[in-house]
This record gives sequence, C-alpha cells and structure tokens, in this order.
Amino acid sequence: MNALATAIYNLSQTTSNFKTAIGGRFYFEKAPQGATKPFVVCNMINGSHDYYLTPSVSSNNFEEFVIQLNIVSSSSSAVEAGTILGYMKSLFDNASLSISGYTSFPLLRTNVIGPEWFEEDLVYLYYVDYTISLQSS
Amino acid sequence: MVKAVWFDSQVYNVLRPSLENLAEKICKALQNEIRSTMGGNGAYMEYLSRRPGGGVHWSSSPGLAPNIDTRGLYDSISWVLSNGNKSKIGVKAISQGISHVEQPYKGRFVVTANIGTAHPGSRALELGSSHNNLAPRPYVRRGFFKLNLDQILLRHKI
Repeated sequence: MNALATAIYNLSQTTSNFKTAIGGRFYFEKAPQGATKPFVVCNMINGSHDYYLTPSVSSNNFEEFVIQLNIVSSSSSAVEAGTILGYMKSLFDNASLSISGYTSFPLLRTNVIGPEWFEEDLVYLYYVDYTISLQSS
Repeated sequence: MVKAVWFDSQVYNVLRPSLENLAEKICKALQNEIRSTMGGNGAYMEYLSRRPGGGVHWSSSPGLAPNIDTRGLYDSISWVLSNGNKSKIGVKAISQGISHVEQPYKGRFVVTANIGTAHPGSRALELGSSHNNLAPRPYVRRGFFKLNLDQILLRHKI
C-alpha cells in the first residue's frame, strides 16, 4: 500500500529530534549498501482486514497494519540507539497518519525489543513494532 | 444495586480447569496458525535431503514467512502451559536437539502460556538481523494475526 508507506515516510521526515538524530535516513525494507549509521529501516510485517461480527458490510471497512522499525546504530555504546528510540516514541506514539480516503487511528507501539549487539557488524539494534488502524471513508 | 461476589476455593476449583482448557485451545490454534504461515516445499526437501548430495536450500523471500525446508523450525513451534501441559514437539526438532519453550510463570490465580520456538535461528528470522543483512521473515506475528480468537471464544461459550 503505497499511500501508507508515503504517509509513514512523511511522518518520519517532519522536523523533529528524530529526523535530526538519524539524519533523515529512513529506509523501506532495506538500507543501501554501506549506508551511514545511524539509520532506521521500516518493514511491513502484516496487513489484514478487521472483521466484526456485524452483518453490515459498511462497518467492516477497517484495516490493520503492523510495521517494524529497526534502529541501527554503530556507536560503541547503546546510548545513541536508546536516544533515537526516545525520539521515535515522541514522534510516532499516538501519531495520526494523513492518508486520503482513510481515517487513521493513533499509532500504537506494541513491541520494543533491544538493544541487541551484533558482534559481527559492530552495531546496536532496536526492533520497534507499531500497529496502525485505518478506516476507509 | 451493589452485588457482592463471594470468591472461595470452590469457585476457584471450577474456574481454573475451564480457563486452562481455554488457554490450551488457544495455544493449539495459535501453533497451527504459526505453522500454516510457513511456505516452501518441505516434503520435497525431505526427499532430496535423503539422497546422496542432499537438497538445495531455498530461502524464503524477504518479508515472507520462512520456508519449511528441513522442518526444524516448523517442528519446534511449541507451547507450555503453567499447569505443566505441553504440546508435542516434532521429530526433526528433537533430532536437532531443540526442546520446548520455557515453562511460564506459575501463579495461583493466573493461567499463563508460553508459545514459540527454541530454535537457534528463530529470533533472527522473526525480527531480521544485521548480520548478513537478513530481512525479517515474520511467522509468529503473522500467526497471531491469523488466529480467529472470536471463534474460539464462541465455541468455548464465553
């Protein structure tokens, strides 16, 4: 869903501490080879219709998406990744996306895992999940 | 009108087995849903791996759930309830030395369950990894989304 991806990207690029901290490097699905760290990669985890036990078709127009944001930091300590996580929370938590034709409900942070240290690549990683609920108007 | 609810050990003794039964049903359904997200030609790989020279590993596309392939991950999806009940674990997982997930917290007034896998590569596949630029191949979270909890609760008459 391109409109959703665009809305997420636009949110990440709004002037904020989050954008400054990652230098605007917000990628979808994969980061370019040798990208400057820190950066954030967004992965689409799931997209599904929300069905309710109501006979009315018009009430079944909810869609739910789960995105995973990976914070990648090459700092020697986990502080940088942790700071970016804090900025991410203040920008994304309960934010509403603007998508034409849809009403967006506040973004829910459902999962945070990390920081995880990768000895082979010398990076710290945070995995953050957000659930996005949309209703087509 | 305020209604007083009296709670004693007899109520507890009636409620608890029912809740444990429900938790077990949810775990079984979730185990099936997680397994059903996995794709690939597992049976064909089994056949190839028994031949001299073995089979060829086909990894799943980034973003898709892992392929069944050698069945190690597939067989290792298991659950354990706080009362000690646990799922069966597949032959392949046993042969690879993979056991059940950990026993969950056991409290008197709570029924808890752990569901997942103790497979060594499971975490990297679910979340992705910086090492070798492995993209996430979510199967547990997709399983949760596929789970029709409403239907289970309706069948359980809750």
